[in-house]
Amino acid sequence: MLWIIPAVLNSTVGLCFTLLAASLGEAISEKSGVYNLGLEGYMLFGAFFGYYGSLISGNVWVGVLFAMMAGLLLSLIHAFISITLNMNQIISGLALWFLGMGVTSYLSRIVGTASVDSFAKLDLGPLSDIPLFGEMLFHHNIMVYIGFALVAVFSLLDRKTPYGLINRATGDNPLAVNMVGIGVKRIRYISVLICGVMSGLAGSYLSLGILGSFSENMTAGKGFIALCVVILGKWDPKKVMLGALLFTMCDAAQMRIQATGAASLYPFLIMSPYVITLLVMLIPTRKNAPPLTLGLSYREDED
Amino acid sequence: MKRLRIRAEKFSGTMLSVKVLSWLAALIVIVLLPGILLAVSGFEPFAVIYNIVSNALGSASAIASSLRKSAPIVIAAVGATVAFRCGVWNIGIQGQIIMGALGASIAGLYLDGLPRILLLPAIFVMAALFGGFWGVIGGYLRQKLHVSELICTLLLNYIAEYIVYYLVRYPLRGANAFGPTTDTLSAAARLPSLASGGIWSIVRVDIILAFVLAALIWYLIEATVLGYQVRAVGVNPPAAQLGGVRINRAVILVMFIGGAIAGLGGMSEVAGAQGYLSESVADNYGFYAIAAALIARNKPIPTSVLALIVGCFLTGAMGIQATMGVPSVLVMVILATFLLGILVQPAIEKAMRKAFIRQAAGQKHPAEEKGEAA
Amino acid sequence: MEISMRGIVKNFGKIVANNHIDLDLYPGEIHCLLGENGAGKSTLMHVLYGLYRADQGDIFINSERVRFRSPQDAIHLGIGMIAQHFNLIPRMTVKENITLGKMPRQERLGFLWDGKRAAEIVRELGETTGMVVDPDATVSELSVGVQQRVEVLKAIYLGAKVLILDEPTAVLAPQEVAELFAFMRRMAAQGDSLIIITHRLEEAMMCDRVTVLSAGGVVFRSMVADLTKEQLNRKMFEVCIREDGRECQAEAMTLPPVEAAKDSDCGEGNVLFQVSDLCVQGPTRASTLKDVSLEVNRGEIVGIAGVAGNGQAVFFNALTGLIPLQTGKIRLKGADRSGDTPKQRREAGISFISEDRKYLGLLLDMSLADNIILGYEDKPPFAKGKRLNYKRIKQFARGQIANFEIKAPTEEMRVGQLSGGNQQKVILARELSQGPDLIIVSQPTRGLDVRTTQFVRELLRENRDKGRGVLLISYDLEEILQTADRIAVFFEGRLWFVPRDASVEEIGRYMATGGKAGEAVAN
Repeated sequence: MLWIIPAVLNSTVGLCFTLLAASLGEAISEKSGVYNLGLEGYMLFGAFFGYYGSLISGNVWVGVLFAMMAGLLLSLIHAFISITLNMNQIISGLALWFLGMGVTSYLSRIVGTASVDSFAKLDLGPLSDIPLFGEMLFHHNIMVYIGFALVAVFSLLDRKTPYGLINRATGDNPLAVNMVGIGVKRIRYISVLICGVMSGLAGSYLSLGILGSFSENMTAGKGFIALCVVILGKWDPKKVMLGALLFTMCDAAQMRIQATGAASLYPFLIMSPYVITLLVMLIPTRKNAPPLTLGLSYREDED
Repeated sequence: MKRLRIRAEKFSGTMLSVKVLSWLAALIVIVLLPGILLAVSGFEPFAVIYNIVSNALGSASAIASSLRKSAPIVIAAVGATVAFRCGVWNIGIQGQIIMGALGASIAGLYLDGLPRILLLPAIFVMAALFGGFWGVIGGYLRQKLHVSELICTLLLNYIAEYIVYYLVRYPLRGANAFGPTTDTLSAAARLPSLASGGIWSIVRVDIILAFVLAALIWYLIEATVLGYQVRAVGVNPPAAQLGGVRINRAVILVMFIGGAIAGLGGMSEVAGAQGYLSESVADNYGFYAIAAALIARNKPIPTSVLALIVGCFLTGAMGIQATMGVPSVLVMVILATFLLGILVQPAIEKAMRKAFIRQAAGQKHPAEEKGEAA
Repeated sequence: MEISMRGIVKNFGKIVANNHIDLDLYPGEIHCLLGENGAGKSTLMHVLYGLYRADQGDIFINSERVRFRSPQDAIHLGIGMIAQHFNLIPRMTVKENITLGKMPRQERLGFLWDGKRAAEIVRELGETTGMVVDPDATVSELSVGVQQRVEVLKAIYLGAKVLILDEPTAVLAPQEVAELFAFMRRMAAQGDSLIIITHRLEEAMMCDRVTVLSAGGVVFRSMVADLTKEQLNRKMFEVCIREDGRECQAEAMTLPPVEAAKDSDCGEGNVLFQVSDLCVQGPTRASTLKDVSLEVNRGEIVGIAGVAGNGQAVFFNALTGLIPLQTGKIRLKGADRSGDTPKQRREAGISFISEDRKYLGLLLDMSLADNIILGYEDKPPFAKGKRLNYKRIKQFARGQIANFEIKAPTEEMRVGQLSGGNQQKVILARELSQGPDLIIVSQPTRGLDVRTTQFVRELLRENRDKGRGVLLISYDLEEILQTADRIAVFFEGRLWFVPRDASVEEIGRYMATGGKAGEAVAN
């Protein structure tokens, strides 16, 4: 079985963008204190509208733009309900998840499943001919590289910019941030909307990245796995990247094994990422990690 | 009742109209998106709604169909309320339904020799145990390992789905089945119908069971010691703990009870309407159940009524899917926007009330200023 | 900078927190806003800082009317505020906390934060104000007094010319209070002004001018030099007397001399409650309990004083059974209760009233009747087997409403809608009506109005006179002095009993530095 390892690693790198982008976005949002249970919904919106944009324009990048705006829209609703209206984040997230599921399933039945172009693989010439690593590192479509670049961007953003520090402060003690004259709502909105854009992008990679079409519920729980990745990565972009790679690897492995193994193993293979996620969640983590006010609403001018 | 009276005493005419207005605003939010969706896809919204309703309730056989379809949803929705009332986010209803359906099928298929008077209770118990077990896993992981039950139960949904996917294709696959399903359960294993022939014969006792369960859960939560403890934990876990309530016990019990009831919803599908276990058993029912419970604020009786309405809508929508081409998933969109509307209504009300008060205060202010300046 | 507040009105629902208040602040003065808990002082300052928007009234700065939409506007005009509960980010460093409001950016890459410059800024501020803190220390590791310095530096960094301090001394030892006032004098000498909110007379007497608030309105203004402490004391209660017709308990807020201990038998047979060599892990080094021992006899109130954060909360949680003991024993009436759950301890005869009334003591969204049986809901008369007996529950609730003079229209009222004082009464009714032998109570009168405060302290004394034992934990030294028979002090997780004839200064020493090692631990 060992010979599948290079192929698995190859696939892992090629597929991880979805989980990576969504997790990075969610990590930033959770750091400010807002939890996006509707992540699955944002990603479905991104997947469908990305596909749709590409379908009607013939251009993959238009699709990407549509996807980012779709994710932004849904996260904007969540931001409005959780931040401005101060209503329960979990119920809002659930509602948006259902909404994402329902709207995209509905529209996909109307729009049909004609296929579109997916991202082209970059041709980096001789680099991709390096044995063993060449395929894995240098022969992917551009989004993969953008994904890893985003890890660096988010890392910088989080640790070294005023925005990042204020963002983290908001998650731990919004009153303190308010007291020094910084708008808590504004920061949270920014973080949630970033999450929305990233999730839309993540979703678009599913439909545009490999398959070139949309199918109902194609995210298959990746939004929730992203939530787990954020927890496992302790809200740190670099560790989140490792988590995303780990889970994508499970997925990639099970796909490869499927290709070689008996059909009856299929359900167990498909199940394995979820099982592994569940098992990994059971590993005890340091209690100090999460933002202190995650999921709690912040009210100004109220006693 | 007394609480309503206290609130009513505080109401003046303006306050009442604020409440009404805010519900209207919420209603607009609710119908806006489905309306847009329908219009964008070339359907006429009012015609669609009319057809859904007439499809669901337009004739005796339609009503019978609706009742038949609603039973598992009502049961599952009642199950959803239990954990929610305790502040435990049991999103694993779908998985618990599926496992309950599995339990019921196993009992129905392998205990077939038993007389009906033993077979049916066996099916009932197996469904409840399987569903309850699936729920307890989430509860246990939450209390003992401090893992978010939100995520655990959710992952368990997918795992349950694939377990059944495997089982109906290989070990449990029916010898006479056309696709990946089990054999149809024998007549003895099916839930009894309400009538022996005619239109109403498709409606089974599970719809009655559904409302009986709703009443039982209402009693459990409002009138028993355990229910008090569940409510206390739902309102304020640390205070409840300081008051001596054993939180572990409460959480694990509600996950078991909720899961067991959801499992009975699965039984309702397998031993009731469907008659066999397939990979798409109770398709998305879990989510409808959760949405109904949340909208009805986890009160068992209103939840059961709302779930019944949802089931009727679903029946109607599936009908027009064939005739008009409107995807039945529309119901999920409507439910989602309903949930959003319910969520924002209190905020709308508060904002309107503040606006009213400011307006009233603004009228006094000029007069007061004159007095003070002197 | 001269500040005038005119006609400030602020309502929270039905409650009028500020009732047409006027206030003037002149440059270079230390102004005291005096009043008991609930008088409206904090609310007024929240309005001044832009956290709350007044429903009516205006604020003038240097005779120009200003409108604050948020703290940003107030900060912009040079107003700084240090709230009662510190607003720091525990897991961030001092320099991050201090520069949060105006983060220094790097020269070449303007979107990046400049950590080195931030550290420099902290050091510079330390030199100019005399408040030195290590810029790279993590805030959660600092003591309360040092955290307050960080708060002050934060406000100064943002350019505060007017500093509002809300109950700054509540958590300080007497020596730290002196340091704080020294800093305040230095600031005033520069022409800046300070407003200090307090309910303590001796601190008011250290200021230049005082404005007394009571029940939302101003009752008195004066230069401190023109007053005696007794006069000021009386002024605080004026509204109280007028409103009722009958006289308010003129319990002075001044420190009474420590009373001679009651003649309680300290013989073996009278020991009710024993704690021996308790070691419990706390969130910080200072709050971790080390070899804590004490005894409570029947018919006595043992008061536990100390600055917050020295182990009191951990002690309470350990005694209630919420956290496990590492070593040590807890004995009630001779029986070992160390391993008991909260419920078992309750059944054994211990009642607990925790300091966090709203979030640990009550189920705010449930009715008064539901709250009043919490902890006893599974026993008769409230339960018949597995079923709740609502008739008896309501009867009981109504009875307690009468007994404790709880202001609630019916027993169905949501407890969240009651006032703080009435909420505390619900908790007391719940805990005391079941006839416990030992009452463990923490911060019982925090945030309560005068009348309820007297009520609660009287209640504790009544229970003591009935032969019960009371363990009173309070950060308010006056409360301990007024109520306790014997006093112990927590410092950095250790407990020392104070000699019976100790002066307030000596008690202050225990609070600031602890007792000597090996000193008598219990007497």
